[in-house]
Formats: sequence, C-alpha cells, structure tokens
Amino acid sequence: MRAGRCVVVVILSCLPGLAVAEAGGDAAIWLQRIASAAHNLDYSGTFVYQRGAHMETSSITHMMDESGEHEKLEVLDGPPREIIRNNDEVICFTPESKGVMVERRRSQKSFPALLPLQLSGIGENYVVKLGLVERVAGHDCQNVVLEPRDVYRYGHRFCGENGSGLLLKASTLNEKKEVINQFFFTHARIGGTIDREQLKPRYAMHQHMKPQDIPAMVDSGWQVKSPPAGFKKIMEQKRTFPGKKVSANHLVFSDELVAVSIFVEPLAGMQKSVTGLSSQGSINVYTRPVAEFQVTVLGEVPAATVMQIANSVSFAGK
Amino acid sequence: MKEQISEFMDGEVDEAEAKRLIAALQSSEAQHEWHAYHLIGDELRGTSSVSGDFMDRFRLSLAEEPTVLAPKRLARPHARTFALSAAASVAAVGFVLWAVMQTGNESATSSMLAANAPQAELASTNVNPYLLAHQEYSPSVSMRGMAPHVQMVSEVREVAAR
Repeated sequence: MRAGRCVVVVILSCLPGLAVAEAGGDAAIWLQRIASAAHNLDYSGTFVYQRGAHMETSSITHMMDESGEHEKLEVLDGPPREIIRNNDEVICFTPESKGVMVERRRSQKSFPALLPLQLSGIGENYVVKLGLVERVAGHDCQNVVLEPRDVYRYGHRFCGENGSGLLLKASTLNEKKEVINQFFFTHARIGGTIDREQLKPRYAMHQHMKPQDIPAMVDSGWQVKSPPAGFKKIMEQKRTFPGKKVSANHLVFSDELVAVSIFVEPLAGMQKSVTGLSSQGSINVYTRPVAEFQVTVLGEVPAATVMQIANSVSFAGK
Repeated sequence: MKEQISEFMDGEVDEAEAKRLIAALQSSEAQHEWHAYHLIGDELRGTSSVSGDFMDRFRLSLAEEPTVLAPKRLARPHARTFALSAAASVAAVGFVLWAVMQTGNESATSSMLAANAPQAELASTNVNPYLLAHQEYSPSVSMRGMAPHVQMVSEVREVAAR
C-alpha cells in the first residue's frame, strides 16, 4: 500500500516538466481540479495568511458527506475565533466578546476554497498557464498561474497538491509581480478519516440560533455605466449598518475571480461627503459623493479599478 | 556561545537552557553577541532603525530617568483629547481593529478627526462595516475582521503646535 503510493507520487512528480511544455488546456483542467478539491475532499491542517508583515495562523478541518460540506476553522493567534460552517450556514464564535453570529452566506470564499466552481469565463480576463512544481507543507504541488490581461486586476498563483488537487498555497501578485498576500498550508493531511468530534464547536451555543435568511436581491436603479472589462454585477441587496437609520445599497461586481463591492449610502445623516483613495491591506477603497449619496467602492484590485468603477456609478432610476 | 544565543533568539532552546543563557547574558561579551545578532536580524528583515551606539545612549538616558514607582495607567486615545487638540495635528493614521467593549465613542472620535485633521478624513469614514459586508465575497479580509464586534480606530499622533 505504502509502496504503491510512493510510486504514484514519483510518477506525478515527473509529470509537471512535460505539462509546462503543453500548457493551455492542461492549466484550465488543473485550475478546475483545484476549485473542486477544496469542496469535495476531506482534509485537515494548519495554514497561514500573510500580508506584508501581518500574519495569521488558522487550523482547518473539512469534511464532505452525504449532507454536504462541514468545516471548522479556528484562528490560532490573536483573539480566539472559531467558525463552524455547514454548507451555507456559518456560525462565528468570538468567545472574548461573548459573540455568536449565525448567518447564511450566498458565497463562501475562504482558503482553500478560493476559486469559484464556475470557471468558464476566466480565460477572458486572465492568461491561464501551468507554472512550476513547488513543495509546500511536505507535499509537491503544481502551480497554475493566472496573468491578468489588463491593468484592472492582480495576478494570481494557485498551487494544487499533485495527487488530490487540494490548494496548498495561493498568492496574489501586483503589477510588479510582487506577492502582496498569500495563504499557505504549513501542515496538511489530505484524505483519511476525519473524526466528527473535530468538527464540533469548542464553545457552547446557549440557545439554538436560527440563521438570518439571505437578504433578497434587489434592483435599486444604481448602475455602473462603464466598469473595467470583464466586471459584471453578480449581486445587489439592501444592508443596514450598525448605528445607521437608513439602509445602504450593496452591489457586487466580479470578473469571476475577484469581487468588488459598491456601497451607496444617503449623505443625509453622515458628517460630510468625502472623496479619496485609501487602502486596507491589499484592498483598495475609493469613495466619492454622487448627488446626495456617498459611494464607496472596495476590493482586492488595483486602485485604478475601484476608481473607474466609482467614477462611473450613477442612478438610472427604476 | 554564539550558536546558542542564535538558537535562543529563534526560540529553539528548552526552558532550562534558556534560563542558563539569560544568566550568561550578564557578561558583556554575551551581551555584545546578543546585540549583534539582533542587528543582523533587523538588517535582514529591513527593520533596522537604530544607530550603532543606540544602546549606549539608551543606557545613559535610562540612568538619568527618575524611577517611577507607581506608573500611571496609559491613557487611551479619547474623544476629548481630539476635541481639545491644536489645529495643526498631524495624523499618522493606522487602522486598528479594536474590540468594541473598549469604548462606544468611535463615531465621536471620527467626527473630531475630520474637523481637526484633513489628512485623516478618509480614514475617519468608517469603512470597517463595508469590509465586513465585503468579506462574504473576498477571502482577503482578515479573519480577525470577521468578528461581529470590531471597529476601526484611527490613531492620531499629536504634534505640538508652536
């Protein structure tokens, strides 16, 4: 058994050299494998999120059974935080502030499930190539490189474990091809049996909390006249933020890989209107007033993208 | 000795060894090594910001410092501080995720900031609820930002206006 597995590993580790030469279709197949593996496999491990000098370590246990996906994620440094996920239902425990948040999520993008399952249009905005084989957390993994076709998005590298396709390392690269942030496993156990006890929350829920329903999609009449190529609206809903009386419109645009959020809030009740660009880690934020509203656009995209989107936001009426 | 100090700095020695090394660090030779390794580490990380004789000058000024036996609690940045601050305050704005139980005066802080320091204007618009809302669609918002009770605090460093 053990010998058999070694043989497989040896054969697979010979493959990438050939694969780089072929590229094209193979890279797309690899990307699809990486996208599904994070959902379909059973695995556990420890991973790090790094952005500049900032680092954060989490442990993850993931299982797929007949009722779907189950996952437990614990943030290991800083204030304790535990996130239990059963399909689209997410429970977040923050024991220090005695907080429990239960919600349903329309989309769940978290490491290693970073890629959308639907990848058909990705080639329009990125050149998808096979990259080098690298060793991460003791496993060999195949890199798939996504080079942006224009200046409106960052580049990405996804490294999937040779045998299973599980994403072991993901990096985002700026226009100078410098890594601006990355997720990587430091220890990963793929396959094998997962003890269900491992998936149980460490903290007790005092009462059964029903998750909030996913808010209904709306069409408020706000539109983006000329978004950068490839960005399309994927969602729009109303949100009420803490301490605010009036609700805001939240629109999400995506190029199938990254998402950009647009928030439109009435200026009434705000201190004053602001215009300007700022950043929070690798997320760029651009805000400007449009008529009687404050428009804020943010996402993990170059500054030019949030600015272009913000500058073409207008109200078209219903 | 050099190797042991290096291992100690990397956290690779056990407790007993660590105790022994701390005791050994009383010698000036070991202290020199200790300092040198930190300088090397700082250089490698590109975080070096002190000049070579920093420790000597630090020791001198420390010796001159009066000993405060009952240190005052460090004051937290407070809304009132901003309200009274001189107009020419320079804002070094950083985003800090701050547990909500700290204060409830964040919005007051923000408005004061906006009035006082135009540089802080953008930061004073609290984008944190937006980031939280965006988190559903982006993995790069820090996991810590997922806490339901977090808020952003703009840190303002006052510069005496003369």
